[in-house]
Order: sequence, then C-alpha cells, then structure tokens
Amino acid sequence: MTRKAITRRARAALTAKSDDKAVLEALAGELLSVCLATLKTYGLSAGKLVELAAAASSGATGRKSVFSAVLAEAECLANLLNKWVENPSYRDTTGRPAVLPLAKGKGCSFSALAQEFFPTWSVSDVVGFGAKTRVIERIGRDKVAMINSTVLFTGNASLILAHLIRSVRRLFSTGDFNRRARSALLEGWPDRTSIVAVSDEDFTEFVKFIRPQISDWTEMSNRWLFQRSQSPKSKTRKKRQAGLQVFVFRD
Amino acid sequence: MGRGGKAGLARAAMSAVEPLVELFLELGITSPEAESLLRSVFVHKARDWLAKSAGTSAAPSDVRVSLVTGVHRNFVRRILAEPPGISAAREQKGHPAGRVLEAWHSDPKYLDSSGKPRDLSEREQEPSFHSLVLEHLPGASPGMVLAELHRAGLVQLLSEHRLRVRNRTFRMHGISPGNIGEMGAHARELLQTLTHNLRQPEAPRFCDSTHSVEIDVARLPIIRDLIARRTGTFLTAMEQELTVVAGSVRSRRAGKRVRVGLTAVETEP
Repeated sequence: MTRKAITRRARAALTAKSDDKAVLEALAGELLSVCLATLKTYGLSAGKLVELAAAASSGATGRKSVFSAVLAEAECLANLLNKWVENPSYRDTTGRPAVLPLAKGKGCSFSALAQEFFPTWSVSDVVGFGAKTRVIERIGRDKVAMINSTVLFTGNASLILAHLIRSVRRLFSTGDFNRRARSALLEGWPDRTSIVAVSDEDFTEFVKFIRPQISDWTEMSNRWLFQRSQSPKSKTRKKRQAGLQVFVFRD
Repeated sequence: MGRGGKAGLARAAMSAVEPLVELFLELGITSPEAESLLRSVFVHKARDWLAKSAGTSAAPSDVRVSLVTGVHRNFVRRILAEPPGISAAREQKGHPAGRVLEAWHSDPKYLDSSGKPRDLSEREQEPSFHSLVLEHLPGASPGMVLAELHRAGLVQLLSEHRLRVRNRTFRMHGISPGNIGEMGAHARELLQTLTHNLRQPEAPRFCDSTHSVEIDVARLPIIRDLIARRTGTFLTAMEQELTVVAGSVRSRRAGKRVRVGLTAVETEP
C-alpha cells in the first residue's frame, strides 16, 4: 500500500466505527522495523534478529523475563534507596536521607537495608555496587551517605536495553488501556507529549531547564505512591506496580 | 607635608575607619565595593569643600576636583552625575564567595542526578567543598570561605563534616538596610496585588494558597526543606518560561512594557 493510500485510509478510520486492518498491519510492520533497526545499533545481525523474531513469534523464547533478571540488581538498589528516602526513620532532622552507619546498631543502619534488599550479598559488596553506580559514597570508614536517589544506567548497553524493554512494555500497557477507554478526556491514563524543532544549543539548554522539574515530579509521584502503599488499608489489598515515567527525547 | 607625615596621619586615622569596616563586613559589603563607595564620597565631598573654600556658589570644574582627589576627570564626571554610592561595575562583581555558590549550583561535578546541588563532604571525599573552592576561588582558603558562608547562613553544617548549600547568591542575613529594603519591596508587591484585586476583580492578578496542614512541630525542618526545594525548582522554571515568552520576537515588537514576577511565600499562621 502506498503512503498516500495509508493516509487516506487512516483519515477514514478516525470517523469509522471499526479500525482498518490494512492500516493496522502497516503500523505493525513499522513498529517491528523500528525495533529491528534499534536492535541493530546494539550490534545484533539481521540474520540473528530474524531468528529471534521467529522464536518470539512461535512463543519459543520462554516465559521467564530476561529484562527482569538483567535489571534485578539495579531494581534491588532502587528499592533500597526508595526506603532510605521515604521511610521517616532513615531521614535526618532536615528531612533528607541520613548518613548511615555501616554496622548494625540500635538505630537504622546501612547493613539493615543491605540485608533487606540484598539478602545474599555482603554489606561491602552492596556499598561497592552503590559507589559504582554513583548513588552512595563512603564517609570515613564506617558510614555511608546517599548522593543520588536514582540509579542511572548510562553507559551500560545491556542495562539500557533491558530498561528500554521495560519502558516499551509500560508504554504498550498505557496504550492498550487508552485504546479501550471510551472517553479520551478523563478515562484514559495521561500520556502527553511536547515537541518543537530546536537547535543543538537550545536542546542542551532545554535538558538543563527540564531536568530538575522532571526529578521533582517523579519524586512527588513516588512519595504519594509509597505513602499510600504503606497505609494499613492498602496492606491487605491486592497490588500491581504503577507509576509515572518521564523522559526527554529527540527525533 | 612629607610623605612619611601623610602616611603617619593616614595610619592614625585608620582607627576611625575600623568600626566602619566592621559594619561593612557585617553587611556583606566587599572591599572593592567599599573602595568604590569611599571614592564616590571623596569626590562629592571634594566638590563641596572646593566650592566652600573658594567662597562661591559656583561648582568647581571636574578638572579641579580631579586634581584634588587624584581621580581621573572622566570618572569624576561620572561619579558626580549620581549621589554617592557603590559603582555598578563594582557591585556586579559581588562577594568573591558568590563564585563558589554559583559553581556549586552549576558545575555538573557538584550536582546530583536531578541537576540540583548535592551535599558535599568538607574535604575528605572528592568532589568536596575543599575541591570546589580550590577550583572556583583559587588562592582562597577553603576554611575561611566556609566560615564566611556559614556566617552568612548560606551553608548548613551537617553531621559527619558534610555541608549543604542553602542559597545561590551571596547575601548577609539579619537586620541590615539592604534586607529591610528588600522586605519592604516584597510587602509592597504583595499589597499592590491584593489592592489591585480588590479594585479590579474582573482582571485579577494571581494570588492563591494551599490549605494549611497541621503537622508535628518536630517535622517542621523537613516540611520547610520540602517547600524550599519544590518551590525553588518551580520558581526557576517559571522565571525561565517567562524570560522565553518575554524575549519572543512578537512581544519585543509591542510598545508599552510592564514588569511581571511571581513570589512564593511559606506561611505558618
């Protein structure tokens, strides 16, 4: 089908009661080619990708999630940081994450956190992992401070790819919910985009300008969700992961 | 009078200046600012003194004032055009420690992943306050800079020799002419908005607040820190958005211009 024909049929689909199968197929083809082109940039050959696509299509790739396994340690560290940030007993008098003693004592300690989220690791390994990912730093011999509350994957291809898969799944889940919502106004989950063509210099300025805003929004969202999940009412209810993901992009 | 005599007299007069220097230090006025202020007073006073000595009402020429004061006649003209004060060029330079504060808020090495200044160890762990001062205010003693910033309430001393920055610009806290003037300006702005809204309810200026929430007094520092961080981020974003809107081509073509700003205030009724 030509591009012109797709545009014509997509316009018609906006007012039609059912979706045009041909347009959906063309979009599905484009989605697959976007994924394949991206995966090629990670060093995977076209032949290998066809093989993997065939295995995925036949359901032969297994049910266990690979991305969860790759992200498992980073996830544990993120959960550790979350408790350190959000649990009042781990905060100092100013409300920020307190400097913690490494060894277990009377009050809160880093050992207790490490044991809770990395039960099979030694405390020094957890400290090493935190220092490598630039989220904690040692204070003297026996204390640690949090320097960042977000685990960043920058510079690590497999972690970034695993993170991408998780993000795509989340995006699909929101899209899936929104395509079933009857009203686009308040029933759907929020999914907003801002997009304008700008120069390299303006884009750099934009990232600098928007970074603290995004951090504050995610921190607020996290705090709200964390506090609600800890409430006595919520503890007995069935729960599913929910949240907010924001990122800057450039086409 | 010989050179030695003049220097001796100047040294003797120093004791009269010392309390003034102490006051300047308390007010956060730097040496270049004080020198600029002294030069300005000197030139104005010289003009009055020359006119009085000559017994005429006519003002002496800039050249005469220049000869007596040792200040170039071009500067004399500029200084006499305004009442005595700190020259704008000197004032803009601000307090040297201001460079450390600015770097703490903008150098990526000293920011966290959210782009905000991170808490630093005094000197033990790099990047530290020590490395920050050495990089951005070379020649200054980090200990002295810390003492100065702490005295001005701009750096908070935390446990384990860790430091937290509280403001981006150098300003002395407490009761001073500058701070009282600023307080007056804030109060005037708020009253202007409130009276405008009373007079013109059909075109109100934004003025809104959250409901007060009751909290345990022990949690007050936590809440204050939260308000300061969130509102600070929001105000920075608003300032940048307003600047972008104000600087757009279409708005520059417009004729009459007005000043617009936004103030956020924590309340504890």
